[in-house]
Amino acid sequence: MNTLNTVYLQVVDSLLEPGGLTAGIWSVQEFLDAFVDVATDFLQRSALYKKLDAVEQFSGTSQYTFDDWVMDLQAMFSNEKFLFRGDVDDLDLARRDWVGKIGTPREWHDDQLPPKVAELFPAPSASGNQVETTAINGYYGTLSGVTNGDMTFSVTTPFFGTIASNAGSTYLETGGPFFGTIASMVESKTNVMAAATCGLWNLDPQLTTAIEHIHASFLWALKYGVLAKLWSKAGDGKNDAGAKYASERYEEAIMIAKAISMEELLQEAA
Amino acid sequence: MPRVTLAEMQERVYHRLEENQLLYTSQEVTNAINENLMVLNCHAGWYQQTAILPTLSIPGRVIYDVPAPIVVPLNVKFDNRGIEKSSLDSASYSSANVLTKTGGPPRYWIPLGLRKFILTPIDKIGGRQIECTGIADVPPLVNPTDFFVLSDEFTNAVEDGSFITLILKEGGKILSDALRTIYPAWKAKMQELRRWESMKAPHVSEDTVSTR
Repeated sequence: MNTLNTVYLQVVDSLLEPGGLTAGIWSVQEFLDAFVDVATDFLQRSALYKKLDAVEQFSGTSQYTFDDWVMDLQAMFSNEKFLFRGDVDDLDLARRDWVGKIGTPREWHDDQLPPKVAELFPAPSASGNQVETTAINGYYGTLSGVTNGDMTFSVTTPFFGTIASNAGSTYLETGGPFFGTIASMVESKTNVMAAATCGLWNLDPQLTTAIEHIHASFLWALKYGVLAKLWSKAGDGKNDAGAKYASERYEEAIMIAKAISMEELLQEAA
Repeated sequence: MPRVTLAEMQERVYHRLEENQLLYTSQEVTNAINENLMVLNCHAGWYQQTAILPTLSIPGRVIYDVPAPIVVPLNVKFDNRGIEKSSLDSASYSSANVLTKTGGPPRYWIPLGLRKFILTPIDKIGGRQIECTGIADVPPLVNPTDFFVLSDEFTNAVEDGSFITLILKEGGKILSDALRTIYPAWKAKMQELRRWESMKAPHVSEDTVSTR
């Protein structure tokens, strides 16, 4: 797995500071800040990486707020049933009294709402199953029977690694090697689930932090994005020609990512 | 197609750099070559692999992870049979129960970003092999004898790209000359080798051709 250091070492080579930023023109923190900005921008604009995020469904509640790492909501499910995307104008046109209606959700929209919020129409008439989990600290062992509703969760012994997915309607995903706390879980069945483009989970990474989501094949994009930012900064390191070139290379990567998104992932152009 | 080792490629790049091994370390040159093999792969998708999912299909499971080293999944086989690619929107247009639909082996796979895909209808039996073919992460060249297999025009593009990548730190006349001459030629070559139709010039269609 690549860490930020992989990109860092290539960036410092281009900045004529092989081995690390020690000349005082740029700091490691400036690199880290630029990296977070660029990786977030790449994830947002490329729309190549998606995650599923389930939130608890409540009877009569139409609006749901998704997690902080969610960027662009792209598909919505209620009780694992696909909901069609609409907007407020459509809903107003079709049915003026749509607000407050309760039933089986058929449609959703996220326009005219705060970020990361979706509204279902009609509002669900039933609450979803809630999985009871006990906070487990420094877990190392067997998690064999977290059950409620339809969920059974089990892993092999000893448990120290990454849970990528679980069979059946329940889906669990962790941000990296799993060693910590399970504080809450929401299963997709009977609840609201979104497929969304994702941002970075760790917004305060170090050089040793693993690069989230993005494949090694696109690390060159991050390198040029960071170089464009660092060379654009006012000061001794400002390099207009370098920044222009690096920026062009970064945009080239975004164009490729968008083409992949459209042609291979069958998504509409952003 | 010719087989090119890392040592041969380094020699070609160093020749372009006027053998300046003081300013450009062997590791830097290797990094630049590896970077440009990846860039070329992003444009042209030249490195494709088939990978079998580490676990067999699980009864009732609908979402699977794209196996490493696949980056862009192009094709999925379920139990050695090709299945059709669809999108969430079009699959859901015929049935909103795309995540819960049962009834025989999966007939469609639906990409969910680059890391996951949906198999629908749900496999209720399980124990079947799932195979994924696609554009893969290019394994980095490390040892002098490590090699890649590419046609000459692709290899030349990697050489040009590596040269520009390296002289970026030097700046000055060498860089401005390269950005004026080599870089536009490299971009044109990428345009030619690119597999992504939406990045190419629009095709002339009947709608745009005057019939007069």
